[in-house]
Amino acid sequence: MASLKVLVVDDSVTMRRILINILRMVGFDRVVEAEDGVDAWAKLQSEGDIGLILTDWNMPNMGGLEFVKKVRSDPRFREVPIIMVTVRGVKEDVIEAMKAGVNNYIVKPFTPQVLREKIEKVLSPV
Amino acid sequence: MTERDVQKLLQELDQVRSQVLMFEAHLPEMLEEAKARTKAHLLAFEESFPKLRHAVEFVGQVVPTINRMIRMWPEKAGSIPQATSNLHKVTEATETATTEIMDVVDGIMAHIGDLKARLQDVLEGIRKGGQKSCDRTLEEVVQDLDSVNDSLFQILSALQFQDITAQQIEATKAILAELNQELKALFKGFTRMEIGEEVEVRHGTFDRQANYDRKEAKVKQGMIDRVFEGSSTGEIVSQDDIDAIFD
Repeated sequence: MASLKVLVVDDSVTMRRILINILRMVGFDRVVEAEDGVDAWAKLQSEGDIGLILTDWNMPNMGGLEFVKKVRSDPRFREVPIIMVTVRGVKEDVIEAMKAGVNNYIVKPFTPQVLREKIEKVLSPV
Repeated sequence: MTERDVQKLLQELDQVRSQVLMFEAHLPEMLEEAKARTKAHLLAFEESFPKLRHAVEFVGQVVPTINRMIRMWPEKAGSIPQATSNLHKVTEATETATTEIMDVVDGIMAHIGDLKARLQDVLEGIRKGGQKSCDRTLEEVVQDLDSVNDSLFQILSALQFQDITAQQIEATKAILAELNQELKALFKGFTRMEIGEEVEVRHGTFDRQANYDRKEAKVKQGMIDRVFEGSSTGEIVSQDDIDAIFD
C-alpha cells in the first residue's frame, strides 16, 4: 500500500495539505497534487503509475465529475480507483458520481478514519 | 306707471348706455390684453411641453421597472436571507472548528505535561537502576505519543472548515453578483448612475449547500455508504432502493 502513488485533486490548497498529511500518516508517501481536473488529467498521464485518485467535485476549469468521466472513458485508467471527496451530499449528486464511475464517496467534513476506511475499501474490494 | 317712474327708467337706461359705451371703448384694449395673456400661456406651455413629454416618457419607463421589481422581489427577497444565512454559517463553522482545535490542543498540552512527568520518572528510575519500571513507563509514553498522533489527526480534520467556509463565502458572492446584475438590468436605460462594478465569482468552485456540520455529514455519509455497499452486493438495483435510503 505504501508504494502506491496517490493523485490528490482539489482547488483548495488547505484541503490538499490536509489530505496529503492524512495520507502520509496512514502510510502513503507517494502523493501527486493537482489543483483542478485539467491539471489532474495532465498529471495522470505524465505520472503514469497513479494507483488511487482522491478528487474534489467543485473546481474551476474542469470539475471533479467531468474529470472522473474523462478518466473512465480512457481504457488506460478505467481501473484506477477513484474516491470523490466533496461537500455535496444530496442523493442526486451521489447517483451522478456513481454513474460517472467513482468507487467511493466521502462527504466533507470527514474524519481521517473515514478516509482510511474508504481507501482500504477501494483498494481491496470484496 | 307714473311720470316719475318713467324718468327713473330713463335714467337707468342712460346709465346702461354709458356703461355699454365704456365697454365698447375698452373692448379693443381688453381683447389685446386677453390675446397677450393667451399668447404668454401658450408660450409657457410650448416651453414646458418637452419637459412634460419627458416626464410622461419617464413614467412610462419607470412603471414597467417598478412592475418588474414587484414581480422580481418575492424571488430575490429570498436570496438576501440566504446570503445572511451563508455568512452566519461561516461564523458558526469558524467557531466550531476553532473550538474543536482548542479542545484538541488542550488535550495535547495535558498529554505533554503527563509525558514530561513520566519521562522524569524514567530518568530517575534509570539513575536508580530500576530497569523494569522504566520499561513499563516507556511503554506508557509510547501509548501517549500515539494518542498525541490521534489528536493531530483531529486537528487536520477540523482544518477542513477553511475549504467549507471558502465555498460558503463564494456562494454568498454569487448571490450578491446575481442581485447586482438584476439591479443593473433594472435601472439600465434611464439612469447614468454607476450601480457598482461586477462582483467576481469563481463559478463551479463552490456548492451552495456547503456546511461544516459533522452530525449532518455523518448522517449523509451513512446513507451514501449504504448506497455504495448495497450496489456492490446487488442489494440496491433501482432508483426506488436509493430513494428508500435517502428519503
